[in-house]
Amino acid sequence: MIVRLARLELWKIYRRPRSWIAFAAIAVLVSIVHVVIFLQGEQLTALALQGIEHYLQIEGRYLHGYLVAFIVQGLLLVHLPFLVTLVAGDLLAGEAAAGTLRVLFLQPVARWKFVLAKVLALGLYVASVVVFLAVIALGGGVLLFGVGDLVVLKSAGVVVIPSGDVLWRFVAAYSYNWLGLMTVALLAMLFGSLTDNALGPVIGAMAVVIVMTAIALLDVPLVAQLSDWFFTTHAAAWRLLFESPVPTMQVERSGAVLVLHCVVFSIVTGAVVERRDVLS
Amino acid sequence: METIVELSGVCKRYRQRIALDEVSLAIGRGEVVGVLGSNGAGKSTLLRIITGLVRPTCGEVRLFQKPPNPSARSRIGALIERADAYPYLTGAENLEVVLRLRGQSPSRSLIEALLDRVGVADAMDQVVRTYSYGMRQRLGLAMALAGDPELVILDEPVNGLDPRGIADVRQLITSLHREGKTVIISSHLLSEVELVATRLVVLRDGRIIADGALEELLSRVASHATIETVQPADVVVELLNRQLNVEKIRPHAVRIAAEDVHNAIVHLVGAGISIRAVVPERSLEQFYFAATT
Repeated sequence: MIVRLARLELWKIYRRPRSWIAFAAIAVLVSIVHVVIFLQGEQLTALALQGIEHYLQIEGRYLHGYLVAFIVQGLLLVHLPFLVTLVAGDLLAGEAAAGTLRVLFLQPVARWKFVLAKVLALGLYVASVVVFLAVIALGGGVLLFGVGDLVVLKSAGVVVIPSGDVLWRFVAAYSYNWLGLMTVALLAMLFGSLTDNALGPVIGAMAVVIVMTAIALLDVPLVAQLSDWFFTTHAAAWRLLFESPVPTMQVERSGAVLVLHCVVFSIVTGAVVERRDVLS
Repeated sequence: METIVELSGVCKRYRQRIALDEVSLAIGRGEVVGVLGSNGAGKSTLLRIITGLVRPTCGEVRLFQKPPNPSARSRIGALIERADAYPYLTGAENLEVVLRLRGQSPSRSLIEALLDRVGVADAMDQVVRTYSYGMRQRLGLAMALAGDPELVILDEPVNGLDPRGIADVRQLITSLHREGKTVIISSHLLSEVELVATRLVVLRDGRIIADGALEELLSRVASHATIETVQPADVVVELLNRQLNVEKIRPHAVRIAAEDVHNAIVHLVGAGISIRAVVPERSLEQFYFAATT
């Protein structure tokens, strides 16, 4: 039953023109990055290495597909959550605004099953966005620029990851990215369960992301303790996967915090929907 | 008669406003119930509570003698207020969604038959975004009929329909009644309700103020009656006009005020006039205004 509902929800998601904005935006943004790096990559990397060039000498090709994909990953940190909330916020609020939530809830299906089906469909949609990003950014980058050892600049220094040790890190990073995006998407869906306005949940979720990120920047001990539980603090932990050695405990803890947020957001959404009067 | 909808002491509050106040109602199989009331009387809230869209603040709802769970809801089809559908899907695809949710296999022939029944089969492959309001309303009716429900709830089903569409809905409700389905219909078009309903429930300020068979309720508000006689109407007018105000309306029929009917019959029988029929003149509109003001 749930699988059947999730398939139906997924079909509805992909039939909506809005759902393709994320794919179009990723294609455009990544293509622009590829073109810029293709034309001016050497100057840009020289600029990035300015200041440490006396301490570091890199021999061989360091501007390749892996580095480009790593750069893209960092660049789309804000854009991707926004793109997925466009769809996630619409899953309940958009249906309520259009009156189709009423059509759904008139059918002989428990409301929590609809919520669960929407969560699963959203998970698959976000996964398809991440896979598309991987194909375009990593696949396209490798095709255009080839492969090589990945040089990652950190505030504490430079990490050089051998070419053969990179791919699994990207797979893990994209998987982690999916988890981070799902957290924001489920927050937008939760907001969507509280309103009939399809735009409100998108703005609400992005506002939470901005506010949490801003609070986390405050250099106060109490805030530091608090922000350690913010999902925004952990959403960027995919970068840890490009350290050597990978701080596994830290990655696992961040992942656990994100999973906890996802579960809580889903349960609260289910509870709200279950009790909600459909008046629209 | 098997009771298929039963409300006991149902109330609904929206903050300070009471939308429904201790409503108790039992609807039997095969009835066509017209729910009437002015705006804000509680009609939509009542229908939404029966369909499970709104939870009652107090009281109990039973459908088919069971709590209103998904299994009971599978026997209900409803069009509540507006006929909304996914604008980016075709009419056929919208119906497919509903059929799938009802656990039915959405074959092309079934979808076509449902859309044909409401007169929108020609547009089944057009996206709903391009539908007129009337076409959407017809699609909403098809969605309400998906899964062959035993109880059909229609809230303002003729909204936005042209005269042809209104007649089609009337025909549809009549055929549902003939098939033994139970229909609950709410509409501001009293003449339409009068044509299809077998029972009326009138709400005011969230309370039921009248509930009964259509004929019985209408007879309460007859202002005039027609007396049909074997003898010519001229003879009747001649006989009664001395005491009562009578008007000839046909060669063998006169019209008279309802309160004078008893006296007229006594006089006519006394004078040896044979009475064929006494038909009270009544309309739902008269009844509605008498009941709600």
